[in-house]
Amino acid sequence: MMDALEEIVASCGRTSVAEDVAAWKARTGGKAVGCFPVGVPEEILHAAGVLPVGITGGAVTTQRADSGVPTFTCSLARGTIERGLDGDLSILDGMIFPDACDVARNLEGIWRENSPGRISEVVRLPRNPQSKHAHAFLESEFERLRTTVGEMSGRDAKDKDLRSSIQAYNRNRALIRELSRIRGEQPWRLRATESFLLVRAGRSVPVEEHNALLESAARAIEMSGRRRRDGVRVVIEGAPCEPPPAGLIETLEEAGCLVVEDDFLAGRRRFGADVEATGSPLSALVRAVLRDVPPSGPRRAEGLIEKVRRTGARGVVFCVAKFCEPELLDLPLLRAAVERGRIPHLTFEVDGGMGVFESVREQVEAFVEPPVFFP
Amino acid sequence: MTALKRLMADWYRDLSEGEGPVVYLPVGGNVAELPRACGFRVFFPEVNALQCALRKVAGEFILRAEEQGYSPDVCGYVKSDMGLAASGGSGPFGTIPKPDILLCTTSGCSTTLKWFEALAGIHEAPLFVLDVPSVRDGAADPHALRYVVRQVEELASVLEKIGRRKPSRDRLAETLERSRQAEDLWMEILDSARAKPSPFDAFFEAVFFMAPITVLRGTPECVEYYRAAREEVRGRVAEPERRRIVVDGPPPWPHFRAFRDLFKRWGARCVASTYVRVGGDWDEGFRHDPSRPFESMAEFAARCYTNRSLPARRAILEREIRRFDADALVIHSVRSCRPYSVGQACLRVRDVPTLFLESDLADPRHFNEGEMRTRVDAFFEVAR
Ligand code: SF4
Repeated sequence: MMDALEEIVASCGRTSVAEDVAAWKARTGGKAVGCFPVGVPEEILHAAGVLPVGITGGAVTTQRADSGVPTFTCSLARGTIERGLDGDLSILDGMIFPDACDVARNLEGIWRENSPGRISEVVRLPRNPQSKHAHAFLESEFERLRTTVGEMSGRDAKDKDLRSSIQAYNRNRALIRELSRIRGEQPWRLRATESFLLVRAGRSVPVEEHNALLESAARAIEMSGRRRRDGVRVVIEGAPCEPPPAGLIETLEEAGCLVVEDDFLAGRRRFGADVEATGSPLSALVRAVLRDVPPSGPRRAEGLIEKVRRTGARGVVFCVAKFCEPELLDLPLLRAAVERGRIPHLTFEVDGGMGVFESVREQVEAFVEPPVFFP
Repeated sequence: MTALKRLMADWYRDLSEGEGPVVYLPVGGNVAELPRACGFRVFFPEVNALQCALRKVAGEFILRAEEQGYSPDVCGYVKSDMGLAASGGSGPFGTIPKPDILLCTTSGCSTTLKWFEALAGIHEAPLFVLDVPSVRDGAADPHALRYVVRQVEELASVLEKIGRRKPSRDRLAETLERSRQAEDLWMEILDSARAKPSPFDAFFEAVFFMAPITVLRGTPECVEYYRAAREEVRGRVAEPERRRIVVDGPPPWPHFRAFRDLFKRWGARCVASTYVRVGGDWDEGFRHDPSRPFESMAEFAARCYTNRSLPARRAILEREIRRFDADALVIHSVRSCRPYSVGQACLRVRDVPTLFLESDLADPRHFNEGEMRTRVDAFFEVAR
């Protein structure tokens, strides 16, 4: 029999993104815009009455030869263009891409060329946050986005609207941080797959609805009498942008891992603390972005070691999207760092279309077995 | 060609034997004039990786990097360089000095940023990131440009501290003036391809001719080189041409000759290419400008070809096809360079026959000569 939490989690997958968006549009008459990971400030869309739709990947079914997205790109990029142009995501009224990687940035042009009449924007996030002038730049960038989105929806995102959107998203992030805390401390009370599905459910509904879902999940966790489960505590790293299929996370857990921390769906979790909801809201958002820039390269490697120590993890599982160059370039540095720290690790290159996880299971079983962990 | 070889050899020699602090820079939208005016010697890991590919030693370095955990699916230049570092930093051109600072402009690609982060870690040297926001349409928007200018100012004080030398206004102005002169000459050479037949190949030759403007911009040697090159091109008697093509994409360096010969057989002359714009471009009369030192460096940084959106790139291709009266477009898509290749297949220009080819710029394994030849032949056969 399912416990209350399992029932809530099962409800997350009942409707597809397209169905959720269609229902919302029918109900409100509003516009829905896709937000490619990682870093689009959803608050600005929300404040203008637009539904921000989180793009989280999935299988690529056909290869649109004319789309211009080469086969040596992540399935997230290929899938987004394909599904956005003539698949289920064609229900979107536009897309916003961060220039977080070269692929994401170029997708904007592909989208623009192929979807006349729908909005297509790039948000350029500062890569030199140390500069004293990064703030002014990003604030103008967010202002530009506010104008574009306002024109599209016919409703300006006023400062007071933005402040209340920030509050709603702060609540969302606080609830997600709470899920992470529980998992870090007592991972048997909330499985990684469950938390992934709960967080991902926010991609296609307004944030208030997602907050309600997360609140009910928190209550269910509180009430549940799940028994302590043993396993090898691991951290999953390498998937902030394109997450692995839920089946892979589930397989890791079934094969004996207790996932105490991961970096999935980083956009929903990018701020370590609340964004201030007083004063100029755009400026507050900018301060939060500049405060919590995700570390990269050698600094990220240090952070990973720190994360492992903090969570008491005994191993690291790298789940990197196939063809994702930014992650694949950090990977050797991260692996070298965990090796120096004598931390066992395992790597999977994942793809949105993966459906069979037998070999993953075998590798994980061998990984969690003695003698790796019990010398 | 010999003048060029000598220049490049001198560049390497100065790096291994010369004096003064060393800065590492990327090619895309770099602001080399500033460190140069502060007495830095400038080194370009990409140019070095390219030389390794051209001399056919990149393959070994790439394998070495893959043994260290670099994926087969990431940029070959990065792997070539990481493999070189793992081999003690000694390549076919001697030993490259350690950097005193790395200065990464982001306009070329975000891969260089990861690359420079890794190098900064290896060499335990500081990294300055010069963030150059991408350009959506024709020109960079004012708030983005302002941000770049301000960062260049911040950079100037960082360089001053590390180089222990203040960038004097005069020296910077002199350096920028030399850049401008070389740029004028280089543009004249590229423009000569408008003649029919063209005396100059704007891809197969230009990718070599562009080396000084890439690595020595701002030096007197660079100006001299282009002055002599312009005279040489002016004095040429153009060979007959049968096709006039525009090429988009970098060359496959490890198989450069074989690739060139595929086109030569058909009498195809390249009259314009986009690869010559990977540093930055000089369209609409843009030049480095001693009277607007920081502004013109910032603008140059933003003008790098891969810093532009796909629709803007298509507009450039259309314009070049018209301006140079080309009759075909050749797109060479390389795996290593995603900012170039993602979306490249949709750059086809209406009413212009387009040939789409794929291989790589550094990794020799991705070049299939037989298949390429078949496609090139079929393309020109039909269009004959
Ligand atoms: S998964 Fe990687 S390559 Fe793909 S869009 Fe995200 S960061 Fe870019």
